[in-house]
Amino acid sequence: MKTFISAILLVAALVADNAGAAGIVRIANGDCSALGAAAAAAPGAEPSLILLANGGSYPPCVLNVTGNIAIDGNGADFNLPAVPFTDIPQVAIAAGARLSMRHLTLSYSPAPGTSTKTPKIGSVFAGPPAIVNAGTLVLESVAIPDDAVFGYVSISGAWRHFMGNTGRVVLRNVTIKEVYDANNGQVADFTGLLSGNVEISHATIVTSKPFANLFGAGAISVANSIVIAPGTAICNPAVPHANFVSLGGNIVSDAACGFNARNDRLAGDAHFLDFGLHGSITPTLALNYDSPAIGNGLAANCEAADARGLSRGTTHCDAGAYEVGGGNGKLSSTGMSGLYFNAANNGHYVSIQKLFADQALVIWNTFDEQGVPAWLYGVGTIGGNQIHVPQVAQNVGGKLHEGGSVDVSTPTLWGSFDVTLSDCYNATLTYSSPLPEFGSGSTTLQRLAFLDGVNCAR
Amino acid sequence: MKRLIRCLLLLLACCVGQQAFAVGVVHIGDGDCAALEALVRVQPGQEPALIVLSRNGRFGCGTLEVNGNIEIDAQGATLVELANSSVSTAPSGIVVNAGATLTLRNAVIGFPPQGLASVTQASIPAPGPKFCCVITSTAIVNSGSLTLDSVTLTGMYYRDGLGAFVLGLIGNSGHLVMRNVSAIDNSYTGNLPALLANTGAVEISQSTFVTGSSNYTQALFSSDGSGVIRIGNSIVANNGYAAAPACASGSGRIVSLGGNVSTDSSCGFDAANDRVVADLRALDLADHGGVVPTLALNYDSPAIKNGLAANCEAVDARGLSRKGGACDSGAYEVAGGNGRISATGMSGLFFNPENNGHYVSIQRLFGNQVLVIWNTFDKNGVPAWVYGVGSLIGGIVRIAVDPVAQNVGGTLQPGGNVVGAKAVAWGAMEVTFDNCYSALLRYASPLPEFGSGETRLTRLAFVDGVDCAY
Repeated sequence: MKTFISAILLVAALVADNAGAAGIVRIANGDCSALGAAAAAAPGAEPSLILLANGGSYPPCVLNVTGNIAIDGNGADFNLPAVPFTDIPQVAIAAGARLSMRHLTLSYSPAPGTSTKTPKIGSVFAGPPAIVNAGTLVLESVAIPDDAVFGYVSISGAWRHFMGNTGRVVLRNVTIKEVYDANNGQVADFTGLLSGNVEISHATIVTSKPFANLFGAGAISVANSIVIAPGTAICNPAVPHANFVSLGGNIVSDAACGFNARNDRLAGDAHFLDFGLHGSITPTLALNYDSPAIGNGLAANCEAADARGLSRGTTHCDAGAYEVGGGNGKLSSTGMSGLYFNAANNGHYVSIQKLFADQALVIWNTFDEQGVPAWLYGVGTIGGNQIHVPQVAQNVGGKLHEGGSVDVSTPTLWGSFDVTLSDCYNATLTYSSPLPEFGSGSTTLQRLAFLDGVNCAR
Repeated sequence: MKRLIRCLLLLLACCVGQQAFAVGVVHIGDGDCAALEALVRVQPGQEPALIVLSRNGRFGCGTLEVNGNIEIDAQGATLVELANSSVSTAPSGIVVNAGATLTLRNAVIGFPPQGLASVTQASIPAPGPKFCCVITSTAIVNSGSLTLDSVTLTGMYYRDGLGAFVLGLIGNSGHLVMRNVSAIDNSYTGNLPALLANTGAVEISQSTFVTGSSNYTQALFSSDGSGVIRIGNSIVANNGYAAAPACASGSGRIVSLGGNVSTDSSCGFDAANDRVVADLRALDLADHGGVVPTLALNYDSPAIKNGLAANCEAVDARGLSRKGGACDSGAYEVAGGNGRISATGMSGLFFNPENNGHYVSIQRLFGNQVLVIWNTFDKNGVPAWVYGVGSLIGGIVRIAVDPVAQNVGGTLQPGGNVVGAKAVAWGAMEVTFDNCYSALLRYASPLPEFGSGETRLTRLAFVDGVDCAY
């Protein structure tokens, strides 16, 4: 029977019009010719996946896509210069074709012969846009940084635009930072950085540049994103935006084009932290703890993961490509780690460090009722949002010696702790000790510090 | 020139060909199999740009038959059959026809452990967990191009019983790509020679195939005819009670790309970093921060840093970045993402085993700041805790904390309040890391009861989620 079945499969293999002709095609670091060839595969002959070198760097490569092409960038840089590398688009997706790019940084380089990223005016030939999409382009967990200058700068001189889109563009967990597509309003196809049929979900799009409208004409939908452009209007006021749709959950610097759905909020400052890797392979703009984007996403539109691949909150998620506390940040898990104090009784501190499995280390730096400093510690068991430490120890008898050694310190049984975390910011420590200089009691706690990498996600 | 560009775009849009991808992203509601089945079945030229399943949803569908180019981001959803209480006559769960392409990401196929999705043991129909009631065909049949990326297959049960003609889990005669796939604890007693029966081309990278002792499984892989399975940086362990080898002998080839860990030598892995081990030192299959469950590795697993650098994927199945120099074999990367010693990996508790009884707690904060608390004593034997927020100094992994404070004058009041405590300058500290486990604390205080000195530190505890990687 096994032979019979194997034979059937073998026949199927031989008979099949096998679409994915080449399985995974791995492109060596910087090998533009191989990348261009793989991406140009005709329909029916595409590789299953094009995999770039882990953390690699690719000079301006020309991609002409006519089939169904998927590229996993593996964290590589794909250079997208503002001045035409050739007189053809650098990335062209034909009608009927599809290009999916993930885990990639579309890096920018200044024009050849220039040493700065300042637009060069008056002499540069304006070729077609860097990306010309007439099919379907999906960018996922892609970063497009930083001070990348595209677009018309003056009537007499021009750089090329970022994208010409007559097909469909999907942006998921994309970060676009300071990408400048200057627009003089003279060409209807280029009325903003993104135009045409565009679906945007959990993107962070930020520019501080003037004359850099982000959205031009077209059917653009935006969900759970951050779109901040304090120096200009998000949507080009010179073109109609009747087909613009906000799906809610957005943090925006102006609402002129119709950001009026649920959880759409105006904010001139999203309280970003740095633009860095933050544990992943493509950079993201991290959010500070007080960002208005935190928890602002509409649950119905929350992506499962952020641009780093870290899981988002299920009942709340953050707007934009970066999820604070993504992955491990549940309060009942690693999100509890950090430093706490009592704001009304400042001067004593509780450290919580979530360990593996269901264990947590709790250290209380305090004093006893005689005013003697004390530090008490124990490893407890987590149950929901509570930590029960049945045996808390106090080290006694220790003495510091000149040079740094401590001897004769002995742990003694002190009592017990219970820590109840009501949310990421508030908790209560209840203690009980048979030692008369401590007794029993409780103190409310507020979060004083978050641990990087395990910030609390609720 | 501007007119020329417009013409070019119009030409591309209108004249070159049909608009192939008829719709953009299509979101499928939880359990809406009718929509999902219809959508994946569309003919070439009518596919959506992307199919996104309801997060952590559950889809007990019939056959997902793919004819065109389909990409599904399952967002942690589970593809499972719950509708039938007995073995049904439903055909295969997933069929990728010749000439078609399916990319499936972030999916769970089968029955994950409780708590990972809303699938409970009570809801699993008799006679046992199964994916889509396979009788007359294989659960996943690929004659085209199938890519499984960050997919977990678990808890599936195949058997030939009740008069059923059960074949197996995956039958491949096309191109099958498996990246960061976890196939954990699936039982199989069917007629195909292995869990993955191949006569086509299979590429396996950074995947984990483990069958525990409570599961009956014949071989995990077989390759027949002109079939070739290429596998690298993966874990292959067939420890089911069937006492079958990991790889069945067949007329096809199984080629190692190196970096594999296996529990028997049946696959003939003989490339660099291929090793046979008695114990994988694996932890649990659970939610470890990604959107699909993964089989975590214990700190002493032989799979850690066993991967060949040339074949390391950039991320693991959770999306966390892998180590740069040598990655871990399998779908799970220990301390993936945040674990660098120069970053969050430094967080944890340290002590001096030769002078036990005082502790240093290090908590990496945002930016380049680090909180250091030293719980110790002074020279008079008085307990002391001194603390400060320092900054990382570039070049080496060093934390400079200046000033360090000591809170004095506090008194615990009955009931829990502390009054009178105030921070006074104590001195300075510096912590220098050698690696994830070893550091040196130097201190200098003008207070005579402390003075200056240094003490070696050894890690006593890791903080979950930021385990130290390198």
